[in-house]
Amino acid sequence: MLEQQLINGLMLGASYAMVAIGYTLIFGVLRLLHFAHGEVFMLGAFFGLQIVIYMTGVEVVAAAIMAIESFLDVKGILLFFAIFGAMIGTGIIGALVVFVAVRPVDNKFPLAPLISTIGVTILIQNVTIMVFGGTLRSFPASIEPVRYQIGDLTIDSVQIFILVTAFALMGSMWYLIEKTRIGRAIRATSESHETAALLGVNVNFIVLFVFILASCLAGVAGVLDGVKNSNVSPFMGLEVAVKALVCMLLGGLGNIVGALVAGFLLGTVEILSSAYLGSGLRDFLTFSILITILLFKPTGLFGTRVVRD
Amino acid sequence: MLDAYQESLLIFFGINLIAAFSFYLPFKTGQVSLGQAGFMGVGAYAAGIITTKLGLYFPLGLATSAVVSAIVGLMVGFPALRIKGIYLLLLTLGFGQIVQVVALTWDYTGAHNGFQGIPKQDNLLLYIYGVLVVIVLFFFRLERSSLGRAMVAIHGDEDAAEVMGIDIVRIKLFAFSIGAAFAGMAGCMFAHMTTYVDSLTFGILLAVNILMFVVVGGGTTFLGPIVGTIGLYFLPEMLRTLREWMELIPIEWTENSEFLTSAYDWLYDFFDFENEKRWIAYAIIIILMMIWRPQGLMSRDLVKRWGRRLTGSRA
Amino acid sequence: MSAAAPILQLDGITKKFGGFTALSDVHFTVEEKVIHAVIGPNGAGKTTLFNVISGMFGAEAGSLLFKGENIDRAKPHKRANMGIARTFQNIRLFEDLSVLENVQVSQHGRHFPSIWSAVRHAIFHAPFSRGAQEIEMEDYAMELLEFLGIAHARDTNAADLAFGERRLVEIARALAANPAIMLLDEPAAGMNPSETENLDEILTRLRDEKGITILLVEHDMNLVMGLSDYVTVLNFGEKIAEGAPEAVQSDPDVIAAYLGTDEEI
Repeated sequence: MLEQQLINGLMLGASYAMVAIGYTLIFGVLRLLHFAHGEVFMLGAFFGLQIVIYMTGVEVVAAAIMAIESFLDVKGILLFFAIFGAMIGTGIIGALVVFVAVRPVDNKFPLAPLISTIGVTILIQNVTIMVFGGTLRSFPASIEPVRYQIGDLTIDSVQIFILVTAFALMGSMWYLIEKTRIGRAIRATSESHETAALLGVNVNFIVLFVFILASCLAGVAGVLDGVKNSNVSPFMGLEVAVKALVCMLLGGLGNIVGALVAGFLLGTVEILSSAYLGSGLRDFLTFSILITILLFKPTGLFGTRVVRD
Repeated sequence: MLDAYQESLLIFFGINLIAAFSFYLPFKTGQVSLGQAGFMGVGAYAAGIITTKLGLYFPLGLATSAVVSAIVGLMVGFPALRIKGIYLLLLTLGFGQIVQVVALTWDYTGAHNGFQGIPKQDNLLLYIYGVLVVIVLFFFRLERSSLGRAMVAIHGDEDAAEVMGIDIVRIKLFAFSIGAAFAGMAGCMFAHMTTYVDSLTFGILLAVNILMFVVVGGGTTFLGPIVGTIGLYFLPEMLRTLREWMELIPIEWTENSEFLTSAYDWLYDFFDFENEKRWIAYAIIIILMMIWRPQGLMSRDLVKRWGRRLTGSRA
Repeated sequence: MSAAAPILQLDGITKKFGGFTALSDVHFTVEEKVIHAVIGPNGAGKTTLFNVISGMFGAEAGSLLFKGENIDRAKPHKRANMGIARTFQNIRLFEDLSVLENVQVSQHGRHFPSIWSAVRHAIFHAPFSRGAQEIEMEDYAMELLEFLGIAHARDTNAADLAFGERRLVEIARALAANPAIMLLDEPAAGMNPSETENLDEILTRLRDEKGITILLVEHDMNLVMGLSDYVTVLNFGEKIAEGAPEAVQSDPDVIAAYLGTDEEI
């Protein structure tokens, strides 16, 4: 059923888009492929999971949550805590990545920061395995999904929640980049570090800020993905990372709106192609798109900006 | 003689080193490829078809893996000429993913069940180190030749090199496709060691590892891949043996002091480098290495300085 | 002026970048064994002209004849090996190579016209000796470095050289390709007066002793007027004057072009 698949595509696309926006922001200010970005996504899911487990496990907290929920007559307050906590957690991780693996590495050698973020990838993944174990862990169902029927279409409250959160976050991200002073500073830094510094922008701070911002976004995407699939694993980062890279390229390197649109586009294409062509051909299609774009339109689908490597 | 564990360690080290060289050759002309694992896959499947499906001899399989990978290398290398930097990285990454998809869906070679029943080759150690000797001699000569200089020039400034009369198209294609051939041979050896490969064997993590061998070792001299592969391949294995080294400490040194005894015990527990802990240590060492020597352990300048010291002033 | 075919002939070269016309219908010829200067205010299209002649940019219209032969479709490295060498205004040496190696790079194409000859040479001569060809290349490169007075820096990395010496290495590197014509893009920029004087002497000797034609873009008018046999003036991508240095200097269009942009002639 086409409409149902489109909903699924949108859900998958939300994950891709949120990770891809982070990639493209970081690439914009540093010309760096932040290899560990997928692992930040994975960490976000684990942070969210831990918060949910903790809050449902400790009686006092669980009771308080229940009280608040019945008082406000809403469900799923827990998820907000999970998202908020994951944001803070991954934000801190993003800052740590800057201090440990980006700032101290001389970017005169373009591959060195790439390798150090690969080091971070291995580090995060194995610390996660050490702490949480290497197996799939399931996300406790925190809200009872309510199903809504719109014509032939079934959509549940969890799906709505995920989409609304994703859109709200990406909307505020767009506002931040396009309408605020710090957004202007980020855009200036993306053009040229020297010019931005001349204009009085603290480039080091902007890089740090962008890493934190991108990591928060990836962290939330991780929680939403965990809720959607109701499980998380230490190995869930890589595939999203690779697909988000494709989205970043499709959208045009450094183009935030482009990455967003490309994320939803790729998510939809993947869901539709695995539904109608089989899952084997799904990845083939994805990477053929990647290669075609690279060869014929390296500025991305929208071609608004060209970033030289 | 070597026991089975040591032999397999040496075999996989050799395969990794060939793979590192396969990345290093195109990298000499400035082409950064995340597709070397893909070329290993191409080589493994091509050789597997020759030896397993057609029942022919291993050397023929090895030759086929090199030739087929070189041809595929040309096919990827040609469009790759036009793009650079992160675009090339993404292109080769995409290529690697497509190889995986083909391996996953091609029924003839087992599709998602993997390519099974590849014969285990005797004397693989000899084949691997034979190939390695040839490759090392090749690089040793290349880096003292005009072609080697031309490659460094292309890496430094492609447009300037072209205007100085260097045929950058041919040289870059040569480097890319011969690099792919090296990777193909590494894949062939791998398949005939493990007797089983599937779509996950030659994934992005392997490609990233190959890249790391070269960058950590240094990408401007052929000693770089050697040092890098030795370091990064044996490092995790060596971390495992830290406990055994600790046991060499004489008992008298610690037995009289309660503090030293407990410190020893704590360290002994800490050095339980199995699995995750080993990789965590490995990751930390890689990050520190990039902070300390972003150009890699070995560099062309270093080698030149050593060479001058070795031969008095200059040859 | 010799009666033989001109070494370089530009016929209506036009080059556009988007809506901007960098060169518009430029015609001129360069005779053999002369120093021919191309001058003009900033943005007149001089460097673009060099990029078109050396093949880095293709032109939208017009054709280029080298020794009477059309080279419009020749790739940059082919043009270099035919005898067109150049230097860059913003020095572009191979920073990771030594001075000697920089010079040797531009000998490569001449010694090894095909990739196979280069590979064969790399692999098959005795593994520990350098081979006759390498020795010949090195000797010739050293000869050039001595000619330019920078032989002492042979093993220095290009990145570690003083600025004036970097300009000279660029010239040595262009010379190593055995060119019939050299395109020098502001070779005196950033040089002190004594270095400029040295350059003046070197260029004169290149023309007189080695018989090399020099096409020169330069802002130092004393150098240009003292050195050149012939001058072409560009302004906004168009040729506005040409002739002997004295004639061009007194041309009213030229004076207007320079005064209009507040530059001293």
